[in-house]
Amino acid sequence: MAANTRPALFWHLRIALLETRFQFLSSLRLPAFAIPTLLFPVFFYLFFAVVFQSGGPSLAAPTYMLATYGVFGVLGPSIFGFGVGLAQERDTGALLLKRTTPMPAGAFLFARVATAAIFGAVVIGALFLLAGFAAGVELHRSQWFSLAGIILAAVLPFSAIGLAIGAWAKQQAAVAVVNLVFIGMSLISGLWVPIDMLPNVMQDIAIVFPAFHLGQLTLKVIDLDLGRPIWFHLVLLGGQTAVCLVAAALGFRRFSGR
Amino acid sequence: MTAAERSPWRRDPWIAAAGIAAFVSLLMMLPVPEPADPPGGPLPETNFAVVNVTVFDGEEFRAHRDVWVEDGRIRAVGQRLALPDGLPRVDGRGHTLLPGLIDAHTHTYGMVLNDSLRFGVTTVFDQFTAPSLAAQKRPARERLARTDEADLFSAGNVATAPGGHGTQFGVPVETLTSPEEAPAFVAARREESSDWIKIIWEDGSTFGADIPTLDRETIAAVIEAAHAEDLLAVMHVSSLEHGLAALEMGVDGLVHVWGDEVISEADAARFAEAGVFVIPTLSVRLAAAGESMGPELLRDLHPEDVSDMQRQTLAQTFPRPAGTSEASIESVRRLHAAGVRILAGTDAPNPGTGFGISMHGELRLLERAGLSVADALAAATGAAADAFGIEDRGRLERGRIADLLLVAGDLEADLSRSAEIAGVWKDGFPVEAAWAR
Ligand SMILES: [Zn+2]
Repeated sequence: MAANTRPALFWHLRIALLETRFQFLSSLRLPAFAIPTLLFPVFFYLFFAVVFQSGGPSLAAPTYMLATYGVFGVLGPSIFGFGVGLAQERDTGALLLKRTTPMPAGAFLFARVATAAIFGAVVIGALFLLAGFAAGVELHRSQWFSLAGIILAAVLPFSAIGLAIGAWAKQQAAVAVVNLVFIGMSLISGLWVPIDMLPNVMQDIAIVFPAFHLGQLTLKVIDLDLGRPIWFHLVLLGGQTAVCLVAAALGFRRFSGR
Repeated sequence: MTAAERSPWRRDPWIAAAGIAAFVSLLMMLPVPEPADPPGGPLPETNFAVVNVTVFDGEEFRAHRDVWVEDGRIRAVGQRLALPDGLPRVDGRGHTLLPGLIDAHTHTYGMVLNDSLRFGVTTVFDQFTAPSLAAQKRPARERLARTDEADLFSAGNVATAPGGHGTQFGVPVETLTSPEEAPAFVAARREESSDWIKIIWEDGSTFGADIPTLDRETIAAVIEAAHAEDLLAVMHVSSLEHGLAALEMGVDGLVHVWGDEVISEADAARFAEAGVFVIPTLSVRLAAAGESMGPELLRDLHPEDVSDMQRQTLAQTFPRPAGTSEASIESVRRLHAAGVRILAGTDAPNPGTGFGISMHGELRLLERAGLSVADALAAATGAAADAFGIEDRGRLERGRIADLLLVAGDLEADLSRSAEIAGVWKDGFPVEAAWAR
């Protein structure tokens, strides 16, 4: 077969895509995963940004919520996919089974991240359509693309949180922890309600959460952020992601019994 | 078709590519804002918006705002306003938009309102001019129409003694000599439609002259009569001693700061407590002290927009120096620190000042006296309107007249950019000037 002469990267990509298909379809069949992660952000946006704000003098609120509900929209699939899914596979032994197959670990991680990104893209698509054609939000083309890009990139730091939770928590506990992080972090980070409307204490606490920094980075695209410099958010976000990855690595080492 | 071709193995890359293409096309068809024209070309009138501009609203700076003007008035100021389709838009990026400036101390004659407007001063508070001129200019401030003149509010005829300060300029002045005449004097000013009462207390002692002036009883009686007619009473004084005495008499504001002494912190606090405002007119105070801003302004600011009259008065000097710049500037610093409301006024066209142009110098001097950029600008906009009880201008706020000054650059970072004018609107109409070409 001619295909055998192809470089190794080609086969890695193919395997990764196949694993993604598997992950995506199995996630889709899990209503507890698919419904809240796909429908929550879209319905919240429809209700708070389109219906509530309809005919208002300013588009600041629907534009703000477009950015933050977008971040919220990828937070769900990222941390649920890694956090709950991973804990589940580990506890049921499915993860051990996968370790015995020749599939590279990279493909396994890629599939999870890509699945979260696909769900994220569907949420972003729905939110952007609602914003542009129902709420009346108008952005420069570069702003639409930057928003979409940052929101999709948020899958990576959020997956790192999910990975850390999945590596440490047992399946039942993981569901609780993930929900707590999902709701608590979103609220305090200003993803639901504009952060300058929250008490100052919560604004100070928010700095420890990646969702806050991602929210601010997206809001910066549309000039509605709190005005801190980009590097401030990138440095803290990078540090927080590194902590999550180290925590995840320690968790898996423990699980592997090494 | 073979089994391998139908398998996900082969289809997946195509599905992924199609998904990415669909996502990108969706981003490509989302609505974009209508184009906004950068300032520099012809500016829109009456109905338009300045978008994505840093505003100074008369009190503080706010970034990324849209200002929507409708029928010559401000319809809305906010972030990402829902603007109607087809509304002309000025791209305000890199610019600062503020209310047209208010010069709270001028003396009007001839074409000077024209000179003011070209430099972004859309309203002047005149502190003594012929009542007939004030009456002639009055209708312009109540209608929204294309104009090449700033609006005028005026004290009209000042309260001064026969032969006193104010009578030497050739304008006929009705004077008074005793407290008993005060009610009739104020009633006559009201009849002439003076917007407030200005009292002159000047014996010439600070510049070595001996000038007849009102006595304290008469001054107190005029203040009382003004308040009885519901008019503000403001006063010209030249010494700290007279300033403090005026405070005791219940004056509403001083139209100069003195130049003889630095006020003590305790006395500054008394001014704050009484709620008395001060229009320091540092431009003229420094000129009197022999440190005129005139040459600096003539060098820095738009020579092509400076009229012969502005050039002439800016270059003039006082015959006899009076006071020190330190006494005036340090007094303003203490008054401001104590919380006294400071207003920007130039006393144009006195020697060393020019209509309009000197407001940009006065802003720099107020900054030198310790006011923040926002406080200095408030002194020339919101605070001035508030102090004189004028509610239709001085702030970027729904319902107020669209008197606007658009400045190139970040004014908050550098107040001296105030004269980098990119546009002036009066009553929603763009003003013609050399900087527009
Ligand atoms: Zn004067």
